[in-house]
Amino acid sequence: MQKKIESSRMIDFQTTGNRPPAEIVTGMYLGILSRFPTAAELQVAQDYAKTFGNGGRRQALVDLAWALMNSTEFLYRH
Amino acid sequence: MSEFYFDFQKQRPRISRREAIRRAMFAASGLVLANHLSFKAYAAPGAARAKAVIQIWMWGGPSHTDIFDPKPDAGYDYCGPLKAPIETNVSGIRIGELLPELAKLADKYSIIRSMTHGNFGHETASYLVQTGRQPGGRTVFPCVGSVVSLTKGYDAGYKGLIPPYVVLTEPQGRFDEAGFLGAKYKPFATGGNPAVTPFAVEGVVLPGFTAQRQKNRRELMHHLDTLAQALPEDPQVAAATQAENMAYDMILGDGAKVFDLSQEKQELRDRYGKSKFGQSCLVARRLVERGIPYVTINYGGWDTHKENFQAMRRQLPDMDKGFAALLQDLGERGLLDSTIVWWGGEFGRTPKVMWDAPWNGGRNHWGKVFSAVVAGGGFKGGQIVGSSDAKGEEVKDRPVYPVDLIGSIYAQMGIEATTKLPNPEGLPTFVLPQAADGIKSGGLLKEIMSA
Repeated sequence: MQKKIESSRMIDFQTTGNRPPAEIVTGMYLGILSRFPTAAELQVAQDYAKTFGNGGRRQALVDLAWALMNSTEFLYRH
Repeated sequence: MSEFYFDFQKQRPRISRREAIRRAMFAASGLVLANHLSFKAYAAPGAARAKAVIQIWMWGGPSHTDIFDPKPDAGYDYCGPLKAPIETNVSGIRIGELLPELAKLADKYSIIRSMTHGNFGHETASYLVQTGRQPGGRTVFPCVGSVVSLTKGYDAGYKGLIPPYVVLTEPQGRFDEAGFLGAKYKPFATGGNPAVTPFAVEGVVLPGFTAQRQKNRRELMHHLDTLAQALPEDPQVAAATQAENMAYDMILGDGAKVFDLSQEKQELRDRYGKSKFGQSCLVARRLVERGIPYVTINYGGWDTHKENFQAMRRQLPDMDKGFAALLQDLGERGLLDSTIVWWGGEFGRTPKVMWDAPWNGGRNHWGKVFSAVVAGGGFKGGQIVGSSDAKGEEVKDRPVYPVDLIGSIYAQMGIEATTKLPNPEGLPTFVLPQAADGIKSGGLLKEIMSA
């Protein structure tokens, strides 16, 4: 599971180019939960990514993908 | 005596003509489960001495004459270079020269030198030794670990987080431990290697992930769990939350702790040896300490067709160290009285060495006679049960069949011989074979069972 997330092409795609963080988080939400994030969620996700610094952006996204896939909403939707 | 051998509380059923003939035949051969009064007597509830079993499974079939049944007088063609067995701390008992640590503890264990079943195939013999049943029938029976999981596990009030039947580190393969009991009673296989830090237990420890990152992730998930926050009273959400809490107890709480060997003193870890087997023994002790009733250490590398003696010199020091440290550590913690340690494989090895290429001093499979060792949990130490002949090729006296050893373990665990198994075809099936199964028996190991 962890390996699959780490080698995810979606995360590759989101981190290519220099997209603004909000756009990346929105892309992840659309990809995993098929909806736009709320303003609060967008904030939480961006704050989380900040704790990793610039070099850790990918790791932060791996954690975000993991958190979304383990959410009750993911279970409910899929 | 009833048709169901172990069921003495019920009234005697009529004996059919077929059954009478069968019994007469068995009586003539003199080798069939005949006196189950003894099984019954020892399996009385409340008499349980043992709470747990640690099974050291010597996958491949360890060479009995190089390990616990040396035959120094049989000559070079039988002993090869290992011709000088060593004295133990019990006078009269000598074991293989590569086991100096176990030699100091012979008073803690008993050696059965007359194990026999006559089967020479890995899969069939593994089944036989661990189920007590003949292979090849239409029903696949569960092995001892799965029976313990059934009778001492979740169905019997066990509430531990760690499954009641654990195998370190890989399942046996080529052999379905649970048989018809199904997947629920299979062992939890840890994967990973306890000699490597961290011990990456499958589904419990994620290598490269600190506990802190796990905690951070969990927090992130909680912050983002908008649906759960919107539906605080929903029973399905509550169930998901409960599952999540259990999972975290496993990976960040007690579950992970039991597998975390860094909590042990370095001196003790060294005593067990740095090998995978040694550290597996230490994990096994930690599991038993937490109440897990059955742990198998699946210890491969004993199928020594080629260059047997090199393999013995390479592997036996690890086995010696780990096994001895386990016995000593269990003893020091007062756990040996309630823990059975069972050492053995599916068979022994050809006593006569094959010197020619490609074997180059190898030994083949040998099911006619081999050894097993039991310690603790109500089994006496310092005893020898039965013997093999001068060359270690045949049983000389007191044959011990797999069912005898298994029946004795069940007796010590307080698992009654009359305990029913849920047979998928609805047939009356018990944890031990019945008379009609025609299984050979030499009787319970009363000589080494504490009264």
